[in-house]
Amino acid sequence: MADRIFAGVLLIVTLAYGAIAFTAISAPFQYDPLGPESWPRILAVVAFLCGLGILFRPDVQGLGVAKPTWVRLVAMLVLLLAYAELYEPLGFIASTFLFAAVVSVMLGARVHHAAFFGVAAGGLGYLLCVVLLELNLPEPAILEMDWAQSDSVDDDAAPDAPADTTPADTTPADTTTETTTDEGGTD
Amino acid sequence: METVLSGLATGFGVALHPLNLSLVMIGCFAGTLIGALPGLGPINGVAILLPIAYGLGLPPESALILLAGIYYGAEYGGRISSILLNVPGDASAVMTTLDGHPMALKGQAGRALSLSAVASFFGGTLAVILITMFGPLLAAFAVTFSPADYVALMVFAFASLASLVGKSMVKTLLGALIGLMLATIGIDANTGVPRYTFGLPDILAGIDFLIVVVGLFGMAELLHLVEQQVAGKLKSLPVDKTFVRMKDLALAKWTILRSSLIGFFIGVLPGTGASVASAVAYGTEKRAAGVDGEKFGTGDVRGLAAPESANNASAGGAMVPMLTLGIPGSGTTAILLGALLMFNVQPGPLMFEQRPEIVWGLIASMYLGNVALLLINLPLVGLFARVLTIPQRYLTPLIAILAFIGIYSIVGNPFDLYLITLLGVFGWILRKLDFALAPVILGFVLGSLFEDNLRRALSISGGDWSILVGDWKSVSLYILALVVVAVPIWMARRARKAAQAAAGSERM
Repeated sequence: MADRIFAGVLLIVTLAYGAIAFTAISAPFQYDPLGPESWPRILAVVAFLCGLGILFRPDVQGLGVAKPTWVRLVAMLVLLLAYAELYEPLGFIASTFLFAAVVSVMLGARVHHAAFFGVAAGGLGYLLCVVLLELNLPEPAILEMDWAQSDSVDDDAAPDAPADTTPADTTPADTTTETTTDEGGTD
Repeated sequence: METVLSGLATGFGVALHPLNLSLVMIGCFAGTLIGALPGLGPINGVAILLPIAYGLGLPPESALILLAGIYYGAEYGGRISSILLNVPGDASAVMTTLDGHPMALKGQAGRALSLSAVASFFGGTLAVILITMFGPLLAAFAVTFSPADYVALMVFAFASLASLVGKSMVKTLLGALIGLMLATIGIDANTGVPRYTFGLPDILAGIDFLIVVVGLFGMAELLHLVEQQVAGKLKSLPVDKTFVRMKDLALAKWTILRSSLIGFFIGVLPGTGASVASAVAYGTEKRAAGVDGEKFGTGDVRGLAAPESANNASAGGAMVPMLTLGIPGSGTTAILLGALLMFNVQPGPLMFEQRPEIVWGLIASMYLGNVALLLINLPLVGLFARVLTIPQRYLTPLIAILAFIGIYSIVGNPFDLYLITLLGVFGWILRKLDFALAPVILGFVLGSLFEDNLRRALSISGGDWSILVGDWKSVSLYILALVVVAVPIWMARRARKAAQAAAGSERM
């Protein structure tokens, strides 16, 4: 059944893909026998046949995932999306701390172990990736605004605690509210 | 011969450069570590670490040396979790559990680990020697390939993919088609017409290769780990003081040689990698052992040596079509090939002439890497064994963190983070439905090459499709494609008939 549903969805996508290839795509002028539309047309036809094949001879009945597992998977997905959402506003260290701690608690770690793991992942990850390897990872939005205003041009990537410039009056309010909702909603 | 020697000299010049030498070590070490983690295999390791390696700003040959080290290092490391935990790191290590774990249960874990390290070393080294000898020849021949021949080569590649990978031929083909269709998104390079972009500026240049790779092989794997998460702790058997004996090697020497050759040639076949190689080698050895084959599965040294030498040889073999034809020999080499494309290096027959430092540097680094792996693996196996006990609850978030770091550090676009998560869900569903993911990435990597060559061939002929079967090279490739599809079907049918006959005679 799961196979059939998936094959059905895929057939619809293929039909749409093929429809676009057969109607919408065309070059304004061309000298080659095959234009930009030919290859997608071929792919659409072959994929349609394969999809039909699976529709008529499916071999996977169900996904075989138990209910508690579904809950865990959906929770994981929500956490991942939350991590992506908070990645820039909170910066790498804070968002990674939250994500690592919450996920490991969800998967069965003790709270203080998880907190330690979160600190280690955020802190060491930052040290390793930003300080040592000089990769580009997000700073917390508040600090970033500080830097933008202090207008220092040094690209020296030593992100120590910023100087004692007072936070700008336009502190993004949404970061704080988002943090609280995340902590409340996912645990 | 002369070209080989001068090539090797160039290669060792590159590989012995301090930076590259340390990258070989780091790659092999990290690879073994990743391979040893239950649930993570070479393809996941390379996928997760590729964006980070890219972000480091290394020159292409250094990045490739690092990634290749992770690749064959993980093939080495996979045996550790197979032997000690009975949990294969990935599909290619399944066969290792059959005889490796029983040996560990008998209190011979040290012997099993050291024997498999030696077998892996022979497999890996033999493969590199074969690449060194035949790579340049194949590349010199492949230079003569016309666009029409390339089309035939692609058909052959997808035919062998469909027939040898995965459970269902239709599903593997459909997986490859999904990859090919994803590759058509973006501006058509020949005419400048946007295809399937729906006006989104983010995908005008096509879907980023890194995002597809990390999504399908990093995030999907993470969801798989969450799904499979077991409540209890996996119990690792202790590594004891036993060690491989000369008697074992004497018993297994022909096995190792045969399996290495089998592994290499299966690795060379486009699209089929270590999992097929180790299965075929194990089956062959079991049959070759005759009556003795009964002992396979209870801790036979040959049953352990066969899959290990085969999967390491296939990792080397898979590099051959990547370096000489620009067609990956396995899912992991598809990722390496995509990595080369990101560095603006066009893999293919001309690479031997135009970018010798990349090709030969990689080959030379594989000699060094195999020696390094043997040296790392014999004394440090206890350390790697301890990695096995890292609980999944810490490993799982770590994968996501690494994937996010890698993807974000490329262009700093948070939209990409959602994209990899959603692709991860898609990949997980595909996996649940018995689709193999390697064909998807192969299709994605080969998509534009396939299309370009088809269009070029027809431009040459002025729209006459008969050019596709115009010369002996393409015709013989089509015949090979037919053979590769037909033989397994025929063999399965014969086996079924034999089984029926046997069942019939038993009934009588």
